[in-house]
Amino acid sequence: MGNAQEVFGGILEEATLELIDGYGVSVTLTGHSQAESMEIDSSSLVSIIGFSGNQIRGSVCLRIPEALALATHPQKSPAPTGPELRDWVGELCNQLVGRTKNRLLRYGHNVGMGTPVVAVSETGLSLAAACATRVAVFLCGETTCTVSCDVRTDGSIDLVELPQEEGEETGQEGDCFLF
Amino acid sequence: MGKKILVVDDSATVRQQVSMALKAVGFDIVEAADGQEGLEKITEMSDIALVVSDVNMPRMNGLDMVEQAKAVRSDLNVVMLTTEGDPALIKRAKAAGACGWIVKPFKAEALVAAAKKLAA
Repeated sequence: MGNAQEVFGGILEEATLELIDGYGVSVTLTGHSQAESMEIDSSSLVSIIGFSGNQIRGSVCLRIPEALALATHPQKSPAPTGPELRDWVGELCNQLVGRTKNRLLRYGHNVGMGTPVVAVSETGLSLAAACATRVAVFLCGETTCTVSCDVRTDGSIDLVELPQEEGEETGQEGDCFLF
Repeated sequence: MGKKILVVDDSATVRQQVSMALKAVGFDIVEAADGQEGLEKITEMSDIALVVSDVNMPRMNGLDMVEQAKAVRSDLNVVMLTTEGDPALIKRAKAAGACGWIVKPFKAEALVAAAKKLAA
């Protein structure tokens, strides 16, 4: 078995720290574990995005409490409505997977990503994963959020960071190129 | 009346953020929630001066929209606003006729500067 889940998980966790910090909320990784499913309580918002590429595919699931969605949402007053918060959690997950995808290019893997699916339940959810899922827990201000990924590979590929080639620069967050 | 900018993104929050930044400096904004709707607006409205568009969207992605929009209006300026930073996608956008690429999350001042230059 290759190291894809571990390396991808590490890239994803780094991207989560940068993303949430970028929206002005202090964030710390408090630990991670493996799980076959994820229990979602009714006060949390969940977004999932699938990705696939040569020899690698999987999904990322972002679970954040409503308080964190409010704290990171660009609109402060009037407070965003429920549908607006759900839209925002989908966009946060999109930005998270986008960051992860851009960093994965340094490992020689280019994945295509889908659009976010936002899960909603008034009674809670149990999300089953297709395989053992790496779950990372973050302390964000006074709340916690979790980010999980299941990564499946064809064969036992290893993700190894490649030396940066000149001339083909990967776009980074906030970059603006005019042609 | 300001120049008209079409904002295409499947996230209402992003459309709102972009619209607020551009309205604040005098642009008129129309919105579309995916590439298909964006293309319809481009076809209907001949006075759109600039399109700011996401890449990954349901129904029709932003790059397919640019390719089809250029067939309708070859002079149309389009800036992609996306989480994607993949050089291959940037190259494809450039080949399709897009004139800019901004990686989310965006800085409002960079977006406004690009819009002022390209919608002139």
